[in-house]
Amino acid sequence: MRVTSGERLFYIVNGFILLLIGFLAAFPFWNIFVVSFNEGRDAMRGSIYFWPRKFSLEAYRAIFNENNLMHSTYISIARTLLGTVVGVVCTAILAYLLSNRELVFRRWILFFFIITMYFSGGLIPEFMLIRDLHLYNNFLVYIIPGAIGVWNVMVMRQFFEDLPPSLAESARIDGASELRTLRSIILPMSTPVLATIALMIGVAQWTTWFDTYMYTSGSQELSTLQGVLVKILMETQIQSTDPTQAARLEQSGAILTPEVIKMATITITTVPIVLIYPFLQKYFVGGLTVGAVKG
Amino acid sequence: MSVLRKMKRQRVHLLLLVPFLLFMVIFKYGPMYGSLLAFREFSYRTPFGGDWVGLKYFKTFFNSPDFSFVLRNTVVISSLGLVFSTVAAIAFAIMICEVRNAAYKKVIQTVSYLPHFISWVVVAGMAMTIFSIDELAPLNSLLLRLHLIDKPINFLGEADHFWPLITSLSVWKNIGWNSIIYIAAIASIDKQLYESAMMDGAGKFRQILYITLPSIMPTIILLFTFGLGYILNAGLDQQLFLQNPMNMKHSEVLDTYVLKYGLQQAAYSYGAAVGLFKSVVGLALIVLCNYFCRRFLKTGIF
Repeated sequence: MRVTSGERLFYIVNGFILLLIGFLAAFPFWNIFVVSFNEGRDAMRGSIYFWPRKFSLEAYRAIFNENNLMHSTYISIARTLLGTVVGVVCTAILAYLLSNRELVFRRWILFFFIITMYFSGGLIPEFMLIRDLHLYNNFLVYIIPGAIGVWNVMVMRQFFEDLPPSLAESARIDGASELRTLRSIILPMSTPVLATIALMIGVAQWTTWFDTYMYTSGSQELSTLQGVLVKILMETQIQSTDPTQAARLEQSGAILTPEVIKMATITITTVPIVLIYPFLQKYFVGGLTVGAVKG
Repeated sequence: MSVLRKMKRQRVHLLLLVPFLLFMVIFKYGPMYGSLLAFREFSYRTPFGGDWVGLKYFKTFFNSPDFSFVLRNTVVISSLGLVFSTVAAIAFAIMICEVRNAAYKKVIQTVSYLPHFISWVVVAGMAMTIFSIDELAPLNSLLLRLHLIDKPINFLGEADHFWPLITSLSVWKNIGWNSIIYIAAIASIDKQLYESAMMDGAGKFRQILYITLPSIMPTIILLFTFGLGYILNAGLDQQLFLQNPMNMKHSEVLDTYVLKYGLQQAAYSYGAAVGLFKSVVGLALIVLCNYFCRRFLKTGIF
């Protein structure tokens, strides 16, 4: 088909605006990455954009020498791995059980689960519950309360319901148990939805700060990377609203500044996500639209 | 009788469900029961609170000077976020669908999802650097160099700048992710519509105005209505991290208020009352929005 000159102009302008949007989405990350490799005192002079001016690994050396931060990294990794495995297993089993159209009291059972998506007790009673269950200052607080996300269960249930029911039927007739049917018939056909849910849970586990902030006393032992970041943030906040603070810091003569430590910590928390999500893109886009369109 | 027979036949199935039901009772229904603390005095001796005091704490909240501005901030911040995020996501989706080079399209889309996957802690950390009052900070130095301002603007420390700041940040964070559903909706439009429009001499803008937008209108209305249902969820993270005493008048929302008074100052019953107020009104809004969607769009979420 012939492209008119008006259309050509449209495509060029359109492409250019999208380039700008893409730049705005990606540049802050690149800039932080770059500044985290710059010498701290030098970085305070500003105007570092695409490349470090005075290359330095000081910030990372400081982070990895400090045992607390390494420990927080381990905690973050541990909760993400364990939390994702537990979460995906629980979600898959529950979604499978609920996808059975013959289930007795099905409407009531579904209602029982779905209502919790729209009504919750609130922050204070949840805090009381965690404390009363002795989950406060306990590693399990990262794993157990979030083991079942009802929204995720509903997305997966929808996917299971769309699979041909005859497959599960025939497995049952052959005498396979419920869990066996799930494992060897249903799950192998459900890679897209499993990958989506695993990504959702994994990213949530890696990026959440709320449980560290709320349900641990701020001790080093259970602090996650996000928890450390919250602390740094609270400490450096005053600097971004008060001009005299920056000047004072400059005079102090330290090479390392809280600013580059912040950049380096942000980089450490962000890099794993940047490396993983593009490869799972086709799954989560598919999974999201299935869940949302039929929801 | 048949129900009993069915239950007997499904006993393994039902038995497997029991732990999940228990989990929900403890972790979801437990706090719901616990929220009755809003009607009781807090006590360390009894787990769910002591003496019943009726609506005392609700009255305290409604009569306090905080009530009007906290509620206003909550509604304003989430409305601004909803309107601008929706418009931006639709515009972005339409533009993405007009790209003809598949590789370019893919790259832009992938990059646009990135901000969705990072936490508000990180976003706030970035924002504090970019919008810092320091005259060498990225945005202020740029504006100074372009001679648009004579002295640095205190983006983070003035109440008037808080709403635009938080709205831009949520648009930035969500534009790519929110566009996914619109892109799917646009992709399902019948291509013949565009072809016949082109035969009639309609240009790109007319095609977008008369074909694309009307075709995805049901999706837009549905998502927007449900956004309205969540209007009291202005979000905790973004406000908490970018909040400071100077912008408090515009940044305090229901969630941060509950956290501050309910937990940090240990006014447990008061916090529970504010939280319960939010949950109940939120549920009512969602039910209402669902009713309107069912009635006028013949579709809903439950």
